[in-house]
Amino acid sequence: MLRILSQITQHFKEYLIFSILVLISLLLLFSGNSSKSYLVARIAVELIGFVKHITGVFPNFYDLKDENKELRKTNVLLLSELNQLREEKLENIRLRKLLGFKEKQNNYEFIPADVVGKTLVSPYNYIVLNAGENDGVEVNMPVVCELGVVGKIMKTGKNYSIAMILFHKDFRASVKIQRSRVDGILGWEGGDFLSMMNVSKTMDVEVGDVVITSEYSTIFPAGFEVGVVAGIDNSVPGLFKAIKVKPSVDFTKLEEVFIIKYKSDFEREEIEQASLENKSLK
Amino acid sequence: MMLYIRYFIIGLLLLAIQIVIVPLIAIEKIVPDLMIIFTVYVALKRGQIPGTLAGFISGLFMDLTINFVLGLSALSKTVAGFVAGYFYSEAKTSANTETLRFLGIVIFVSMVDNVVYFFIYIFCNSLDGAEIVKTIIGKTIYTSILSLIPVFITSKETKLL
Repeated sequence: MLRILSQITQHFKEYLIFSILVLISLLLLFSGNSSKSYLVARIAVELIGFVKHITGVFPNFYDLKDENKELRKTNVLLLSELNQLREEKLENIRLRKLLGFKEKQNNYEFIPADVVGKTLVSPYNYIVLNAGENDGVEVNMPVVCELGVVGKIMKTGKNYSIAMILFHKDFRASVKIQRSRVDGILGWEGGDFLSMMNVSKTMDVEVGDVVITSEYSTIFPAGFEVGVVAGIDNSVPGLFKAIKVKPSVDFTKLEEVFIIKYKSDFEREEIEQASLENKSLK
Repeated sequence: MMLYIRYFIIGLLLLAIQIVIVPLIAIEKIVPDLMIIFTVYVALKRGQIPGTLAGFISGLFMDLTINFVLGLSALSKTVAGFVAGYFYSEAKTSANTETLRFLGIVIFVSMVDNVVYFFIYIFCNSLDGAEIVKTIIGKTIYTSILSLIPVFITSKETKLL
């Protein structure tokens, strides 16, 4: 009997061992956490924890590549966000300045507008504004920003308007030197500077003098800064000085403006016009 | 006896590598299984019973140190070692372990090991089927690639096929 059993065991010992081991495995698997296995597991956890703590300083090579890619992507996103924030910060500064400017000039009604287009390379330079007739914009209304005079409205649409800027061949404005109250006519004859015309050679004008709009202007309210005298030439032939004025506004960076709801005094204009016509008749 | 002690020490060393180094070379959370290579190697060198025992012991150690589900790897690797034992042939031990045949056997046994392992895992937990298939295939491929290392080491001459 024992011999037969031994023979069977000999023949099937692989299966027997396999079955025993599978049974042990299943018992371990379904026994849950016995106190012994719990103790072994605790030791193992401590051991593994310690090893992982030490080896944790080494990154996974594959993950490293992915992580790098992800970090680069995040970096680009953050940079874009940073640029946007910078942009918003600068816009905030500009708007604060505008607000301060608006509060300072509280006698007038302002229509805020964004510059949505501009031409700065032609003899007839202009800017396109996103405010039009629906906002109350009319032709010849002055356009200003916190730095000074920008130009005047020359065409209006329902929602947009076009303003000629100081660098426009047809632009003219009555101005004066703030310090000495010397009057003149501002225009542009090409180049980077404006010209203050009709100023006698004997008048008191110095480089660095601030040029502002004068009361004689029928379009611009008086007292708005236009620019600074950048150069004076008395050697030109004739009675008048050649005065170069550097505009206060940097048109290349211009983004937000105010249109002033300032209407010309028609009565005054009519009288002036009539006077001119009378002179010419005589 | 000394031979089996040597196997035990090698197994422990491989387990240490499995714990410390293998996670560093994981791809998409898939890690190769050095212990299955070891089990197959023992089974092909020493036969079905040593293979089954090697599978059980290495699985048990893995359960204690890596999976923390006692009995799970022990079961799957016992089955794997037993299956690997069928490829044992006293006359062909060199051909089985020193040629690309070893790679083929590892692929098959690794697949069996993973299927058993994850079958029980599915039974115990709820896991996404597609994810399991991906893991089984990934783990099998990765493990089989690493199984080329012992082939190259043990193959004294270039007799891969």
